[in-house]
Amino acid sequence: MKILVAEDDSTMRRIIELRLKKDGHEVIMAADGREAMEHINKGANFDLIITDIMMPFSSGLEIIGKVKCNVEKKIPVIVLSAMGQESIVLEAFTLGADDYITKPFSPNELSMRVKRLALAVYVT
Amino acid sequence: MLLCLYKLSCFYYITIALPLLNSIVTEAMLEMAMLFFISVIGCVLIFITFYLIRYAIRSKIRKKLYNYFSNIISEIAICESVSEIQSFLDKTSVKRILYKLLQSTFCRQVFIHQLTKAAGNVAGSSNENLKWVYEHFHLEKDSELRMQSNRWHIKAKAIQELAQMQQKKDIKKLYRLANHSNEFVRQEAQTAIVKLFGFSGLRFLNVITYTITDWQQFCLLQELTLKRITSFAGMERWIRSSNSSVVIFALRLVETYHWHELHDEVAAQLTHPSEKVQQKSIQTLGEIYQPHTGKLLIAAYNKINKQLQFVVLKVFEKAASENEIPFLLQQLNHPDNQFKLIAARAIHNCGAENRAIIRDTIMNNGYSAAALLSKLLEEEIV
Repeated sequence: MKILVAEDDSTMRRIIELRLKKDGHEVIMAADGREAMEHINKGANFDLIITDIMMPFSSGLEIIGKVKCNVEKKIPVIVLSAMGQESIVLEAFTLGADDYITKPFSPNELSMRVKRLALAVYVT
Repeated sequence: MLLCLYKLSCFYYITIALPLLNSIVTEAMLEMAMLFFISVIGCVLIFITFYLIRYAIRSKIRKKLYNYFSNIISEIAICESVSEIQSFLDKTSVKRILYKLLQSTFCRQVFIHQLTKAAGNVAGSSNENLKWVYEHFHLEKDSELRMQSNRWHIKAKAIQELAQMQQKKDIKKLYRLANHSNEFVRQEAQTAIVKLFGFSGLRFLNVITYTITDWQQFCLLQELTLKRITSFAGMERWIRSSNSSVVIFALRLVETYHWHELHDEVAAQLTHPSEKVQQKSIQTLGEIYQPHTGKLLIAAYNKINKQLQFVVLKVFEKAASENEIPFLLQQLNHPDNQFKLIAARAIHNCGAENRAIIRDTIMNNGYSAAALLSKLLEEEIV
């Protein structure tokens, strides 16, 4: 799978990258919302997007909105955020997020969720 | 007036002060003074330049260290066993640089900062791995040493690190700091204790003399939500504490965990000398309402101020039973419309059949109640 990871914390970004690469995925990294938007606008064919919510320039919610606007291809989105407030979780799901993981998170759990989502996309 | 004063001071300066100064201060003295001030300014400038250079170099080094440590920490976080971490650390490239870097106090501080930050973001085996590395390099000794610093911010940061890395062996030192004179140190120590030991850690409430702020109470409750609570030992003692903030926090705990067994202890606080405690106990009773709670609140009603009376009515709005209706009907005659409104809502909440009673009471009284009636009609109470 080709996965875009949008996360502003360099250590977290690297942990996610290494864990997903271990599973054999191709991982593209974005250090902020603007960089993630650039990747999406370039038309790179991502199979999955993992995004934080609080990021410089564009928030994760804006990224979800942008991705879910595309009617041709519905890319699944996993939100990975320290913000666990009900209102934000609900907003993310309303915008079309497919999963929501709150920090502190287990990289192994993230890996399993990615696998499950990949399977669901493959089945549909 | 100001002009007069100015002219007077000029006159004084020219006629008296200037000749007097000329006779006292010699030219050599003036030269000496000039030299002294120039050298002082020079020293300050040199100091600022050195400081800025040192700061720039340190920032550059710190940035490089961040990148390097970030990679190391990420690799460690995704290891699947301790032996895998060990073999990663034994790699020549890692051993050559990391071990050497960690000999420097500054580098160790940066590493601890990165490690604790990452540990706060990851859970499960990754978190365990980071904790293992922290202990493997004996970094807890650094944190413990800095916890003894005289500067509060260093102390507070060290406490955070020890708590994040689950260093339970430092509990004695943490307990001492839970009643520290500095607010921030105290807060960090209290939060750390609850983070490490959950509800049982709250026994610091037995001894603290300082006030626990509302924010700190919120932080402690937040930490407790992440823990499984098996015993509520100590609650009675905290409710009877001489420290009002401890009593309020204990009442908040009763409210949050619906500790009905402590109903009578909470009710006893209705006569507490502190109004804040009284208010919290009324609100808490609302959360653990029992058949006789209404009677207790009504008994206390005339002994408390108007603000607290309003809190009592707010409790009745949510929890009143048929037994409280006579009292609530009396409140429909209260001079304040807000009181009438809450009382009407409370009566209505006891049962929709009470609508007629509210309507009749309002209509039978002579006072002008147009606004109240319209509000009640709006809410479909009458």
